[in-house]
Amino acid sequence: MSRTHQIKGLILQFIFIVGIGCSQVIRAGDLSFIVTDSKGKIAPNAVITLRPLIETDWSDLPIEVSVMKQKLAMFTPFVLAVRANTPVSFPNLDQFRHQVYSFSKAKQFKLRLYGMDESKKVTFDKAGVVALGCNIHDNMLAYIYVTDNPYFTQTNEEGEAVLEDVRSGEYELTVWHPDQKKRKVSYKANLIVGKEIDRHSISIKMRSIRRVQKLADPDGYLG
Amino acid sequence: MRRFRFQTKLTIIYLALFLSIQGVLLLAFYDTVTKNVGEQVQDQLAASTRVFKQVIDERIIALGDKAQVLARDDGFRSVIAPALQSELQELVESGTVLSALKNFSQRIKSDLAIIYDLDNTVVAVVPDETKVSRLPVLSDQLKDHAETEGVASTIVAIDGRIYDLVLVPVFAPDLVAWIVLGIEFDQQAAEEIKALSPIELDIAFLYEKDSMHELASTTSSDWVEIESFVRAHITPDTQNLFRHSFSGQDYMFNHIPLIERNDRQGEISALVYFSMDQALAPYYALAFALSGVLAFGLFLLVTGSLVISRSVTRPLRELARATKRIAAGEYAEVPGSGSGDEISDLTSNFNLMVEAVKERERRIVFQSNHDVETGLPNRNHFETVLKNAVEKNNDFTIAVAEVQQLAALRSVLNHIYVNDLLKAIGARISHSANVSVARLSTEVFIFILDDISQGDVSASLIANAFLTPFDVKGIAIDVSIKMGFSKFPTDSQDPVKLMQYANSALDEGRTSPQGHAWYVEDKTDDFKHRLSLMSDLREALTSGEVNFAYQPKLDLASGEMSSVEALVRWISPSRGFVSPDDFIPLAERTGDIKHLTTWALNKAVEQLSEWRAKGINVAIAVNLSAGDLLNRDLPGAIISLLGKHNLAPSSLKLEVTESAVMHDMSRALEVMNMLSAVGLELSIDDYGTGYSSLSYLKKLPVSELKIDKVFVLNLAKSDEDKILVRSTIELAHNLGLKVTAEGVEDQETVDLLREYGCNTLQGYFICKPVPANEIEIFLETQVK
Repeated sequence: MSRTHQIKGLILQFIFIVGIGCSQVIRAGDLSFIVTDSKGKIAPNAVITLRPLIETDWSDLPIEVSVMKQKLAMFTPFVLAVRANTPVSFPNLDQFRHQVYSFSKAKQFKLRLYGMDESKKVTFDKAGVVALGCNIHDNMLAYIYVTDNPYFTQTNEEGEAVLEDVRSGEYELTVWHPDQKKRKVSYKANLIVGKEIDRHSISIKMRSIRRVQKLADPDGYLG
Repeated sequence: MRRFRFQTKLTIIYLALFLSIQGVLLLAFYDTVTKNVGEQVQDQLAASTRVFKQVIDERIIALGDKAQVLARDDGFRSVIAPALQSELQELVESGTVLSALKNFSQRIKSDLAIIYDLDNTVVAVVPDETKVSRLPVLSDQLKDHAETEGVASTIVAIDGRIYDLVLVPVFAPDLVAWIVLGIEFDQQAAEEIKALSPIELDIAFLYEKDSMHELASTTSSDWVEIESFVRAHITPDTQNLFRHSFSGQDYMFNHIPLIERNDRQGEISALVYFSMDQALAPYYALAFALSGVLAFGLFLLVTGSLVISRSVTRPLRELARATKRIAAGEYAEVPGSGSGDEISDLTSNFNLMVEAVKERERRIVFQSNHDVETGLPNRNHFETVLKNAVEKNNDFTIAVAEVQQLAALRSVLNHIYVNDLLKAIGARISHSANVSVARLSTEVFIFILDDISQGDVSASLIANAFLTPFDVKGIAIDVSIKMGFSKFPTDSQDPVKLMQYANSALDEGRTSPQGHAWYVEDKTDDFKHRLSLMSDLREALTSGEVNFAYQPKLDLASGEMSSVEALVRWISPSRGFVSPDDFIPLAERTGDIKHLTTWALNKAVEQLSEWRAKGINVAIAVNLSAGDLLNRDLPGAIISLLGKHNLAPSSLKLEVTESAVMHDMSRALEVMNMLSAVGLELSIDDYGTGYSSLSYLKKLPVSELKIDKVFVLNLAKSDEDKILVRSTIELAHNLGLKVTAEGVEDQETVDLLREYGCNTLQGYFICKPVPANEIEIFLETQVK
């Protein structure tokens, strides 16, 4: 790994820590989730959102730039959840070019060929699922889940997710997963933060075939 | 049962062998060919099936590739992805999607193209949805397969058409839709597959509907025929390879399931079939050539066997024909083949045999036609000559000539000389009358005189010729012959009768002064008449119609009637009085004289016995015939007969004629000696009419000579007779014989005979022949 990469990794780490530090300030309540499929198997990359049932002004919520990297001819992360109007940068960390596109209704775009260390930025202004592909590398696939909701998180490799400092109130909980059976959301429930238990086990129905981003030619492009 | 000739047999056997061998060969050939062809067809069908599957696979792959190309097409995706994600998709974008699909479908020439969204809703379909009533329902399994592999395929039947379907997911880049492309298994597809096959097979695509297989398309020209066959014979259980008659030919079928029956649809299959007859067709030429060879072989065989068998049978048939000719009396030599084989040996041996048979037959024919003793033609030969003469129908005369006293000549000449004499006699007759002479019996010659009018002349010529004595080994011998003639056709047209009549004429001729006689019809009873006369005689002898009349004999010395001659009298109820001259010679000839003699002896002995009982002591003289003198048993029979009645032999006297003695003198002499030896007295009857040889008279054991009445009747008037009678009496007396004169009819004769010293008289002057009772009266008056 090159030196430049190491530096970038450090910067990202820093941003992440700062983010957490900020949220701790307005802490209200923590919620933890574990998402499994109907067979009890843990489901990473599930996006969980909370929509407050009482209209509130959430405009003070900070909008941060999200990153969808292209590295080793793969998108990273596979699923990226962002609030609407969030700009997402598409840094190309590969030594070859990519042409990222989306035919999704929520956001259609096509990034012109861009090379290594170039970064394009797209702002996702409409809620919805945006499937990302690369016209040059068919194996590349990623999802950007754009939401209007103030709270959202996604499950990690253990199928677990955490929401911290959620204000007390009544919310609609939705779960989306790229492999879910249903078209829009796979899970929807109301919950009241502050009164109910904080830990939620959610089971969603998944398709037998999982949408995964295959590693393109392990020997391949990068040498 | 029909019998075959050798030639036919040989040909049939060869033919049978040839045909059975050829039959076995042909069967083997047929069996091998059909088996091989069957296997070949099976192999080819199996190969075709592999090709078939490969073609289908390639079609699917190609179609899948095209579908994938479409699914990845940027433009296509940029149209379809947003359209399907829109809430108002149909309203906004379907027109574009459909036109894009149509465009693509036309470009890749697919028969069916459908786009489904992720909810299995049809977004677009080409051709128009209205033309496709029931679109395929995609199974999750198929979709999963398509999603993981990028493409999935299946075969479906829609509206009686069968399609290859490929299912391709559209990723944009996420899955947004499904594209289904279909190519129909239509006739064209079938033709394309067929074109890849090395054999002229046919293909049909079948689908199952309501548990029945239906025809979707075929390369066969006759749709109805294959359709009805499919309906009748194809089920999902139908085995892959099977043979069945179809379209009037033997077909091999391969039933290849393309999609097995499932809960969505029935079985879809392909039927590959090929005519076995067509597969065999190339062998027909071979079979035809083989048949040609067989026919030619057959022809060669038949010809060959005919030639071979003919080489055997022709000489055999030649021989067979020769045997037939020989049987018919034609002794022709059989030409030999000269081949030196068994047949030619047989032929030459056969010819040798024919030569031998010919020679033997010639001898036999000669012998059968010639007399052994004289070498003259015999009766047999003469009969043939006579028959030919009769057939020629020219007038002619038959003459028989009898040598007189041949028996006497035999007694003085030995038999070789007699044969020489007979030859000389034959030759003399032949020369004198210029005729061909045959020997009819021992002493009788027969010949034909062509000139009727010359009969008497010829007779005289012959008689004259016999005046010269014959010289046999230095001995001069006088021979006289008697002749009889009959004429053709006046007397009869039947050869047998002509000879018979000539013989009767001879009978006449013997006693005639000329020494010959012509046949006179009324003098001789015909054969039937004579036969019936003899049978009547036999009856008459038992019924008492025949009786004795007795004529006394006067003993001049004693003046007594010492004996009577018993004379046969036959008074037939139907014939009246029958003269002894009519029936006695006949009886002598037929042999019936035996019965007469037996009767006569019995009758005489009975009469003697009766007379002895009455005290009448007179002897009875009985006449014997020539035949009786040959019977050696006669003396014994007479003695036993006399003994039975207790009579002395002297009471019975026996009279024989000269000719009877002469007939077979030695034998007669023997019998006469025996008779004399037992004490029976013998007389020579009718002396002077026959041979009248005093020389042998001496030898005969007779005691009495009876001078024939021809010399006595006119004795008083004829000086000649006086001399003859007188000298005869003297001669007899000198030989120690007593003399009886017959035919004494007047006193003058009695006186003369008494003067001459005759011993006994017999005749009407003394007494005519009378019945026994009258004799008794006569004798009584004489005694008084």
